[in-house]
Amino acid sequence: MSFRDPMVPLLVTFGIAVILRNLLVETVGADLRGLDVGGIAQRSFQIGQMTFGALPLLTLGVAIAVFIGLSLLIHRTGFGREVRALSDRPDVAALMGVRLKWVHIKVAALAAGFAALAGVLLAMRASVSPFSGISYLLGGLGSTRGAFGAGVLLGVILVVSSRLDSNAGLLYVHLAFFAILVLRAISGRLA
Amino acid sequence: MKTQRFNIALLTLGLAASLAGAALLDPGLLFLLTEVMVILLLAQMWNLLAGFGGQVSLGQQAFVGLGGYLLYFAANATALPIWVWLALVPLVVGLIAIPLGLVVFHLKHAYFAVGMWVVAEILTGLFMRFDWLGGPSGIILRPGGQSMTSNPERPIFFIASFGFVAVLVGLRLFLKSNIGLALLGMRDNPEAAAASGVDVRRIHLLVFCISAVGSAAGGALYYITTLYISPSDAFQMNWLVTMMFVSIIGGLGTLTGPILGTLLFVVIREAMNSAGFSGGTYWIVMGGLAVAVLLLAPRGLWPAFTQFLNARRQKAQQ
Repeated sequence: MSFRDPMVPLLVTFGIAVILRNLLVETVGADLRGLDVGGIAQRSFQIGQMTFGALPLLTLGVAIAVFIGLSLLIHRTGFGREVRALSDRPDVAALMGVRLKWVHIKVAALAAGFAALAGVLLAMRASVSPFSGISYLLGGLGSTRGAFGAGVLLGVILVVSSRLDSNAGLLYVHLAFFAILVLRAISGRLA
Repeated sequence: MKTQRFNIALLTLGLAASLAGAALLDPGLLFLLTEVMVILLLAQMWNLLAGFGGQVSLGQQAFVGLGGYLLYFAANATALPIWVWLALVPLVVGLIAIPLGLVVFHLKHAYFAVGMWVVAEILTGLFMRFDWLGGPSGIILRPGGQSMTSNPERPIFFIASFGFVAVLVGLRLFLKSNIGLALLGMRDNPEAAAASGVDVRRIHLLVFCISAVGSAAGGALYYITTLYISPSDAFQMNWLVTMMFVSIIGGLGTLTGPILGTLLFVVIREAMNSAGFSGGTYWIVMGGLAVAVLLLAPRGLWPAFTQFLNARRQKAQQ
């Protein structure tokens, strides 16, 4: 997957997304559906004055575990070193014996797997359709280190804005995302 | 001299064909052909930005929707003929694109693409909430408060068809001009172009605005024929997917490519429609075709075809 034009992978991914979405519409239909996870969806804990749902806590736990695992993978292992080298200087990394194509494939597989995990977690607590997903891609883009913080921030904005203005949808999340993206770019922290 | 004669011939031919088509063809066919012209125009605009300018935007549907909505709003609210607004609305959208461009050009490559997509999402969200524009349920075209009396498909087809030919000739002239050459230089090597005194940001902004004007004109032309507009339709992803697939399949960075791509796009769609396939199946086929072209001939079918012809000619000469 090494192309002269870095835009080709983006466009290919976009094409595959269109194919997959329409395949889903054609095979399972465009209806909203959720995952039945049994009693855990209703269970909750009482800690002091506050009540926590079991499923949201589980989701948060899985997310934190995945983030810690990914961080260790990227910063502590040989594979992570190859990934970082490749993103900084692919030409030099290749000279040092990193097989760019393999690393690319592994990273793409990891990314797809994590996106699918997020999809499963989402389907457990809300409903999904072939048209959902697009908007959830926002959180992670930007940097690896800030991705968790960005995800939490956008999530909080979503919750607060839907509490204040019930039919806002993702409008404020998109506005915040756009503002953060542009501000980061202006301050030169976006390569 | 030769290109000038070719341009004049193209304009004359386009004028004659558009007039003849508008006068002679039946309304159903004119409706389809107008849509073809709109797709041609939109694809050429995306191609100008992505193929010639090197700026892949995933948010061009924002300008299509803005063009349609502004036309509806202006025509419904005033007594001026809708044709005046059809000419003015794209220019207004072009003006809106200037401050937008100044902001989004802080983003590079993939960030620019995603940033533009978020802009389109934000606009969709905003138009969903504008109650004076009908909110999520949209509005009906009633120029000056009256419902449309005559079917406008003949003049609309003429404007779309001749407009596209004029845009094509305009783009040919633009790409031959100093700014056009600077644009190509920027795409191939931005650092070298900047070092040679090319104002990269200004030319990017110019191309971004031209692309916005063209996309808005396409949106305005299309939504005149539908007589109804809603946010989920006007700002839909399918506008972008169409522009992209058509340009990619035909050949990014060539003027002939998007024309070839549009022909394939419409012919396959009509053939699959009449064979009884669903819209979803059609998009699967088009997506597959786009991915296959990207992987096998990343520059598109038209460049691959001309390359093949050249290779054969060289072989024959040897």
